[in-house]
Amino acid sequence: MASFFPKALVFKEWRQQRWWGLLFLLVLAGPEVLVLTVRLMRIWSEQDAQLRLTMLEMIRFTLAAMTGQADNDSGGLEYYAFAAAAFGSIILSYDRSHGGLWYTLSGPFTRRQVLRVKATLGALFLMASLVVFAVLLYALNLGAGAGLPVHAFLRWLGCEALLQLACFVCGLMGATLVGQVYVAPLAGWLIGGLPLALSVYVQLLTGPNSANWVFTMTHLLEQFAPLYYTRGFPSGPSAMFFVCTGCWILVGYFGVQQLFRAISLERMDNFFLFPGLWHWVVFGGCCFVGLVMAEESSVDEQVPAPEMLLKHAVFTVLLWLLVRWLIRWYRKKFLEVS
Amino acid sequence: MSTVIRTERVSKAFAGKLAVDGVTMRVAPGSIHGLIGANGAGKSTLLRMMVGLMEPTSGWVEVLGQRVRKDADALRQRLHLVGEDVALPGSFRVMDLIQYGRFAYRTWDEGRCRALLKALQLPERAFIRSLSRGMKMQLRLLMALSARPQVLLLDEPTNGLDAVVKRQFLQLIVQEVAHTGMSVVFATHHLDELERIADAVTMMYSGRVVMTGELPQLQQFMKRVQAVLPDGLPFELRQHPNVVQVEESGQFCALVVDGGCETAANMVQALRTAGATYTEVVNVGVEELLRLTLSKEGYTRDGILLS
Repeated sequence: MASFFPKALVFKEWRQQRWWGLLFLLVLAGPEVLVLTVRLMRIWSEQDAQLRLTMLEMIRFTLAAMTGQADNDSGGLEYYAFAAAAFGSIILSYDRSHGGLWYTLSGPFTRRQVLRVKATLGALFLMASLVVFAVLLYALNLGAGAGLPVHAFLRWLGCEALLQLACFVCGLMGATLVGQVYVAPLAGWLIGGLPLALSVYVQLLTGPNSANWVFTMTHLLEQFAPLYYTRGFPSGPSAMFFVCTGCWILVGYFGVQQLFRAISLERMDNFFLFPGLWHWVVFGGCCFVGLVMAEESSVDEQVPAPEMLLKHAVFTVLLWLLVRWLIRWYRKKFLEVS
Repeated sequence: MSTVIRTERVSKAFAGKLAVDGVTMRVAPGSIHGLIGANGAGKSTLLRMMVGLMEPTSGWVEVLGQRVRKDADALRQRLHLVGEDVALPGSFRVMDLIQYGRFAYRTWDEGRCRALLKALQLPERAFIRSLSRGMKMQLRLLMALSARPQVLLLDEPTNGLDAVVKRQFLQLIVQEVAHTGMSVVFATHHLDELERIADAVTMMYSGRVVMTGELPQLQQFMKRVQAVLPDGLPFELRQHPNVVQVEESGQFCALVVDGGCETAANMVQALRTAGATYTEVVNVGVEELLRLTLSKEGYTRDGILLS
């Protein structure tokens, strides 16, 4: 009977991923380590105050630049979620882009086992670095004299872990759809923000005077995007947060498993691992650009919805036909062997 | 089980173009089966389908009595593919890969592994990315033979090996087949080495099998008839439908004829009637057999004359 976690795969993944994991940990927790070091320096020595202040300023600036949350001491959320998605896509696509997946799969393993081991080890790395990051932040807060209550800290940690895992699954999904190792993380982020983008799309389409149900629907839709929660939880996590992250982790992972199993290995070098995706991506892009064109072509700001829809449809279809023609021309000219 | 590998009308299309087209072949147990053909003939694709890395567009592949599917993990305990495009993890040291093999294969033979490591002089502590192409191929072979597979698929394994290592490599394969009864499918462009070790050969062209069978049997199919003709080769013999190739040098001429021994004997008789003072029938080498077969299929390349 096949092993659930084959020892050989765990060994291989550990050997391959440990440096990525360490790098991930250093990149994320690095600024906090520096801040903590400086604070410890302050305790140990009260001299060189000017140097210490300069360093603190530099670190604060780094943190602010990285997290975009200069005023929030629990910063790092936004950056961390994006990094989790990137990490998810890299652990899956890096091996594949270097031809290593052929070797693994030519051995006595199923794709399901390969994915399971990769995802589990990756998630463990992620959680370990999150814990280190959280403990450092907690220590910093304590050092600053603004220690959070333990239950609040644990609640924050739990929510953060769920969010990171959801983003991690988005990254895995990106890597099962896009073959290019450097583009796969971007695809992961796009997938994580897709409900948000759809919500914005519907809002733009319906205009500012849309019906209540449209507003409710778009609001629900945007809450279904893991990236929506990267702003933090000003009033605590909502029930929708748990539904969203739970769905992305469980259903998303199941989807990734099915996609990973369906990839043809001969297409591993293709930009899109499923050629049919081209049509959807092109059409989706045309929809967005068509909408922007429709918006821009409206002189009057209050265009009625039916007119807007018609304009949008016309622009989208025209753009879509043009792009299709261009793709065909490009393929015929440069890709087809006569 | 009279065959270890059986393919039945296997086809594989990439973007609508057939890379493998209706291939039916059999590999006998304990044999070395050569897979030859021009570049892009579909040999590597066929091997990948045998190991389950690719799925046929149509037809099926059976190895050791089991249909090969995408998740053929149990089968791959007994079946091993050694190919250059199956990249080894570069960040591993040699000893890491060996450890991986120990964990992965239930039939891993540690004694064999140590012996091969010593014989092949592979540095255990070296990173795989720092090894030469030939050393990587030797490491692949070490991994494959230490796992003691029942079927070994080799995809151009001797590319990049020097003459000494190549000889050692081929000896190892032959020894393994003789001692363990392992079956080998050997895809290569080096026909001289194949001729030395193969029991059977399948020739592919443009994804199709153009000739398959045991080597002596295939060599019966085409014969080279050599003769000394003081009056030259008569036109009707030159245009004979069974004559595949004519080479002339002064009074000496060599005709390659297809149709087996009987046609060759008839040709000898015709040459004698035409005044031949000396005649001889010899076997055609695998390389010539391949070249002539491909030529019959329309695959020819003109010589290049550089000014």
